[in-house]
Amino acid sequence: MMNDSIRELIDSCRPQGDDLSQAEMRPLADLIAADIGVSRQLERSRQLDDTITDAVQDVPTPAGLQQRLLAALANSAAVSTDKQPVSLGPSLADGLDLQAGGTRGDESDVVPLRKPGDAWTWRLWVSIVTSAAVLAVIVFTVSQRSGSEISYQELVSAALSWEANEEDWVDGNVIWTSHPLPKAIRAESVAGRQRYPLPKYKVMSRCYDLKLKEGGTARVFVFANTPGFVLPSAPPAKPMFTLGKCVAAWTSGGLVYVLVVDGTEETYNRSIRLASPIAFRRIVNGTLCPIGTV
Amino acid sequence: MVDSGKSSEDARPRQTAAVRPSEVDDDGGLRIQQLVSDHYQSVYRYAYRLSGSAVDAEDLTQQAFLIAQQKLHQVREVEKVDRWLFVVLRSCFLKSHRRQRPTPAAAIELNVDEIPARISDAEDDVDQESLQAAIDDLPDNYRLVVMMFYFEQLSYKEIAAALDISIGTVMSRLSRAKGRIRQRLFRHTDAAPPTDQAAGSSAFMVI
Repeated sequence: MMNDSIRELIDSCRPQGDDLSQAEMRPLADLIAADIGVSRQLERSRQLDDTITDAVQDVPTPAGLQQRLLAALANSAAVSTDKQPVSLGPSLADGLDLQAGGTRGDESDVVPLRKPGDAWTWRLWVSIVTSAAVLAVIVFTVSQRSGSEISYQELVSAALSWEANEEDWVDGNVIWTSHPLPKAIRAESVAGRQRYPLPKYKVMSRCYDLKLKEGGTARVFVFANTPGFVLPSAPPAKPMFTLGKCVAAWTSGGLVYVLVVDGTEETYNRSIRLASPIAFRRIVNGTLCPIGTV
Repeated sequence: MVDSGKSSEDARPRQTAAVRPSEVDDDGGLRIQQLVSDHYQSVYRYAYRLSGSAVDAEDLTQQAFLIAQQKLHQVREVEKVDRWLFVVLRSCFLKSHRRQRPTPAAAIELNVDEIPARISDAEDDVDQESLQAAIDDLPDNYRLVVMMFYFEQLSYKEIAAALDISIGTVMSRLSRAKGRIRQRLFRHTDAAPPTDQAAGSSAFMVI
């Protein structure tokens, strides 16, 4: 006899262990005693599990991983000592009442990045503004649509909608080693960060909440340029400006950077180190052109 | 470039390693640096299996240790710190995947064959690409359960308790997920002749 429920019981037995002696396994144990075929099925299942158990552990670790981890931890500890306490986003801290070893404990050291009382008002405001911004940018994008460089504007337009999500910010003092901050940004510190899925482009972006050196705030989204965006190789001198935000995108080292600065073009210009003038470009009818050629 | 996965401490024990004296400082507290040194490889491996991507695995590993650094004082049973790290990692994984569009369960058809009848010597060498592809194909909930079984070697009861789901759900997910993995890895192997009862239920939908 072999049906789905028996097969589930077989599949729930570990290669090593006394799972078969558990109460839930009684039907299987009885069947094994009566049917040698079921016993063989269990044996085969355990053999396969043994093979797969070994195989799942066979993962090479990247060179230098340990050093990168230690550097990130040291950086996090140093910043938290020098400045405000390192904080976890409340949503990440939730669910981390770590069960192993009876680790449920005091959460008083967890400081939300933003005041919870302000969250709703802030999010409502952001939602309204973002909706308006997205609409405005869509109109702008459609009006400008021409040529093969349109992906730049699509990307910049989309970035404004990314602004709307304020959830899931986690500790603000560490940089993902795989997604470093662009050197062009003049940021004083990182206030928060999160992983941010961009399903449209089939990538997982990393987002940093920044405090700028010259004052003001900004966010930068960083992700691998797997979509193959055609972008400037440095921050453009002329960002897109919509409803109090300047947005610009560029690519470097196989990564895409989308910078959203809260403020005017002047704030934007102060927030970045511009490259040599030859790299400056502007968008004209959807095409990136070096300044001076148009 | 990668480190060898098989050298020195990388010679992985089948069960998770207990805490080492060097992980504990004079006051009995855990040292994060030593914790990283002793466990980063196993945490990374687990992260890789869950995420299916080297970049994401490194991010998850970094995230897990950063949280571990902040929460280290909560560890009460030092000898179980490796399992605690896995709990942190799992939480990071679930968190990072929560807002991704879930795969509709109705679209996932798991044609579960009978358990392969013969295991040849060649099958000791599992094709890693196929293995990861099979894991990646699983919905998050199934992937997590089957990795807790294979990687952490937790019992179905422990998995149910950790995820706060019923034992029946764990068994069902385990069976379907394992069926998919086996099918991918051992599809060329002769299958045992289906019994009368099994023949009518070799294909089913996840609901």
